[in-house]
Amino acid sequence: MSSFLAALIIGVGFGGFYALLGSGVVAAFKGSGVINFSHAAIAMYSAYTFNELRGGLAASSLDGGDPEATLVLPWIDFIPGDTINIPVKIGLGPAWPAFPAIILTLLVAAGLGLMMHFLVFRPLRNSPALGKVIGSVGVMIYLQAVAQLNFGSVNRRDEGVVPTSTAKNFLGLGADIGVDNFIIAGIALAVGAGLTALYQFTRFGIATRAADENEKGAVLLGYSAQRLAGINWVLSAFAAGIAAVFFIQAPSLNQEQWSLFIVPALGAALIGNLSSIWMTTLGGLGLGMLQNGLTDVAERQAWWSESFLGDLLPSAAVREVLPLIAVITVLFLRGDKLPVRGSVVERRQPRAPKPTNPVKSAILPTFMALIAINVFTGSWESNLTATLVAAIFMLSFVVVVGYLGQISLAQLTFGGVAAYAAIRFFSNGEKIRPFDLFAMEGLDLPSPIAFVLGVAVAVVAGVIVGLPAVRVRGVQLAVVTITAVLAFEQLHFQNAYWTQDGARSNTSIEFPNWFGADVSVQPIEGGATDRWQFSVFLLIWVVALAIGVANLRRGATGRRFLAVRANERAAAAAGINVARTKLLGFGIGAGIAGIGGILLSYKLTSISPDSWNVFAGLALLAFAYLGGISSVSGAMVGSLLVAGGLVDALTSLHLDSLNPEYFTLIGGVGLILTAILNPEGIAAGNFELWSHVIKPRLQGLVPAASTSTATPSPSPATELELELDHA
Amino acid sequence: MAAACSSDGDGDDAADDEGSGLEASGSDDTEAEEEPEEEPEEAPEEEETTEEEAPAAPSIDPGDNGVGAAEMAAAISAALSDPQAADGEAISIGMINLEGSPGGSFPEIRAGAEAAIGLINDSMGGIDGRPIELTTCAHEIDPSAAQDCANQMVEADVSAIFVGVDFFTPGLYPIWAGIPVYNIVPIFVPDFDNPGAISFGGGCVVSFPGQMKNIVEGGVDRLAVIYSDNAPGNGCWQDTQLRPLELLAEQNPGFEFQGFPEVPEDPADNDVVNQQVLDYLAGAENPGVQFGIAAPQCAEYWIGLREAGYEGDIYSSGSCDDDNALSQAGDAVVGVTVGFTGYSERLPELWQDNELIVAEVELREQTLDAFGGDTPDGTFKNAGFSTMMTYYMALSEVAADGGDPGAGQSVFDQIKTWSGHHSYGSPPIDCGAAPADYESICDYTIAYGIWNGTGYDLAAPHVNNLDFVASLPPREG
Repeated sequence: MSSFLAALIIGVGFGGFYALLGSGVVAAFKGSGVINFSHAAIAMYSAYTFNELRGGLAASSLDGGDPEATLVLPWIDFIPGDTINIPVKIGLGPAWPAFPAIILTLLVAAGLGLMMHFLVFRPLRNSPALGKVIGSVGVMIYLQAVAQLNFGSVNRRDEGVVPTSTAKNFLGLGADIGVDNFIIAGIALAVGAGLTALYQFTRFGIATRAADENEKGAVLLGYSAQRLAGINWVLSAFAAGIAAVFFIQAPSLNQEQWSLFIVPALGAALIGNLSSIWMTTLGGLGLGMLQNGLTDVAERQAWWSESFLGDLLPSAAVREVLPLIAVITVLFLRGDKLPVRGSVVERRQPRAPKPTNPVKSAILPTFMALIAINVFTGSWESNLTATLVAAIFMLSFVVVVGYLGQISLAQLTFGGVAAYAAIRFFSNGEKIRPFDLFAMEGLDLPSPIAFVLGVAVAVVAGVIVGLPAVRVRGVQLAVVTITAVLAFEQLHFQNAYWTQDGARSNTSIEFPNWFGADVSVQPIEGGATDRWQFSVFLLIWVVALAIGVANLRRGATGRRFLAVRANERAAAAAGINVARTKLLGFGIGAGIAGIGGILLSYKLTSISPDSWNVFAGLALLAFAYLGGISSVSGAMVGSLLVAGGLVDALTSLHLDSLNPEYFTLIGGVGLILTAILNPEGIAAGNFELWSHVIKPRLQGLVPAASTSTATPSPSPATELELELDHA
Repeated sequence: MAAACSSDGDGDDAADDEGSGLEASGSDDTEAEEEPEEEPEEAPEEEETTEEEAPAAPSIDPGDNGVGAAEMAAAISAALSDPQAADGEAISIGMINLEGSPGGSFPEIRAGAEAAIGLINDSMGGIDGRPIELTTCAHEIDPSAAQDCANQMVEADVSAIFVGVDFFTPGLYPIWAGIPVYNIVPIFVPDFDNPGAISFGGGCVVSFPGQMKNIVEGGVDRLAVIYSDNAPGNGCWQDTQLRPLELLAEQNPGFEFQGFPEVPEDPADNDVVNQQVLDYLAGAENPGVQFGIAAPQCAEYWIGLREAGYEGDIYSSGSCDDDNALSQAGDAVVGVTVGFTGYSERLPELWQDNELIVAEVELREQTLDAFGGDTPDGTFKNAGFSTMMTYYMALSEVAADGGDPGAGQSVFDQIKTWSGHHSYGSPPIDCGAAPADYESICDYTIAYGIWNGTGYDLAAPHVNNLDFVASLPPREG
């Protein structure tokens, strides 16, 4: 019991950090209605800034010397050559003492907040929830990439400003507890109290709350909603900066680790109902304490570790699952009461054009793909298969996000669920390849049956993750799904009960044989991947699924999906069972993702829990959005853009020596720009270009000189909306 | 783009611009290269001066450093006195490495290897005048990118593939069927027992069993092992830590141990792990903590354990010998014992009386300082450098025997015959003597140093642990 209590108390340090981050998330939401997925990334950038001002890696270098303070600005010098240089690193003399370093770090954080407001979220103020989520994901990707480019990928640790002494045998519990834990918790409480007072008792705070409740009303009362939003963004970033400078001395962290703290921060913010700073603070503290305490119990107590509980929920998983439990509990209990912040004007959802003749449309791309399969060899063939696999995942996004309007960040995870399930169904206790690390026990089923059962498991997982969608929508659902990704990673992929030794290792994948045809990516005797037979096998799946998704959109189910996406109440009033429609969409989407996951595992020949990590899933969503999230053609365009895809291969021809992080950075910027300027994605832009410029010229219907001023005729998508309205 | 591939016959970009490390440090004048047109009349004078001032070829005593030591001594001597660039037909080799992922990035291994290739090509005259062309492919922790890199090696038609650190090698070996593989830091069982692979250094299979034995012989009666709860961490734990510990516990009834997994991606678990370790060690007469974790986590746990009041012994593998980790940990790492498979510049007591090793370590440091980039110095960087230099020895031997050094399998077969052979910057190695379970591993020696704040004090010289490793109970599965 004493160790449990000690663990609980130690948890106040991380809890305080979660609370500080959660408070910032709430402040941003109050100000602009954005659930900022990049909030922890702001803390990350602030922490690295603080470390650089204190001398950076050289501060404690073994080589000695005088460490210097450097201000590293959050961009890169993208102009080639030395003629014009954009300042990135500004030398500030010898390493700075703590206090001025904190001040400048907080200013940098505040600057980041302002930049995000003016450059990203102000332009997105009228966008639907998905656009704002994509914007914040784009910011997160950008900040991670720019941090890697400007600071390197070495973990940073700083002596910080908080004393690291320990309280010996604290309260007689037998444990020595770091004083820094209490200090961070104290700072979190102080910041929480300060922000609460600010929102409760100041004119600015009252105006923010007014705008939060009813933005139109606040505007009518004479408040500038955007000025309020800007100030709240600064406050939010400030909170992230404070969290960073007071937490940096705790562990040695890298960029991804910092950014992943967004999950418990979101959990804390939801406990605070996205509105109460005080409840968020307490929620964050409680979450940190419970994580530590329950992890300790799961590790030490035989009734947990040696029972089925330990199998299903090992100690390492407790930490990730708790935020999920907190989030889902809050959403289920208060889902309908969670604030959905309105805006003065809300832009409509991306159009989902109705395909006219999917089979006919598929003929040319299929023919081109077959030529590519015939021509490509080696790494080009591999880039092609990466594109084809990605296309399947993109199609799953089209169904769930594009048609149904539910923001799911878990599609890649569903793929992983299916892949691990399928290999268990296939395995027979013998090693598949000579260098396999272990042999997996399983049902020894043929590849096609294992495939189908694996997809079925993914469908079940999709429906389970989709259950909260019955109660919530929009960004809150995005929070559920990103939390679910981490929980699945721990509960399933890294859980030896389900994946045996594959929980912490590489799981070898079968040589798939479908009805006598060897469709494996690699020759059984060994050698380079990818075989053309595998490429053809993939192409068949892509074409079939693309036609299927297009027909789904054309049919009654697709219309129901769009109706739910447009207005759930109206859809319900029209006789549509909204809950069933949502679960059906999640199930179909997860099934498609499951197919993608198994095919991806075929391609990789071995999988590990890392194959399905949260950042890879976010990148897929990002490319789906770039391509066009609400159409099959958008999915195809998005699949071309993924890392390892055909566009990547083309750019690599000329930019081979370029740091891959530049591509990530460009991807982040592209995502933000797409969300702001072209929310319907590249495919829709091409469609417009084809429909209104190229095709009329080819047909000679519109004189070339007049195309720029011609009023576009109603697009098929507009006709679709009319049709839907009538339906 | 997840994998970045490049090919460089000269090794390092910096070397392309500035010449080799040897040139930069002594016998050549960089300014004369940069401004030849402005002062053409001075060039002959400078050349003359250079010739006059060229140091006499130092005589390096090869000492008792194994077969091939004399040739290496002569090669270093020649490179120092009369550096020669290689300009013949290139010998193509490849290297893949894990880089750029915050969860695991080891660019220092590639930097070390590229610096060595630069030295070989620019100053050592290559292999009979043939330069080595190194095609590298770095990838993040992404199996798809790893597979891309593996395929690129096949496409480049390299004669040998070097692997820095990679979490996916078991899945890559089938792609490389027929191409010899050299693991610089072997991790998984297939890295140890693959007939088509060789490791000049031992990696986990040498570092951990040897250190466990040393710990028990040192009198530790209760040992807590903190290991990374990821694929490589679990691989090393299951096969190279747990098995020797079980054997040692069986042989030493007073000894007990327990493993504590720590999730590298989850910094929040550090406090809990530390507390569990302290609870486990409470009451032990001679407690010890051993690390099976990567450099960033080493710093965290050195600090965390000391801050939590742990005053007993801490033992770390060479992966913790990393500039950043040591500097971040500060005083917390003082007194920690670290195992070394080769000779470290930070532990001169091991090699300061051995003339050839002195020359090798100095040459390595000189070259890495000049062309190793800003990647952290440490065991891994040295391993990248030394592996390439040892491979150079093998290529030279094949060429000297009239064979084709560009034929990867011939070189591989040559190395497999090595017994008591010199290995650059390391004690002599045997590449054909290990039992089948470890047939890929050439080196079973490990020495120990205790960190004093600026370097290591010698704790124990190199001991060969082959017998102990060979006696480990067989793996299951």
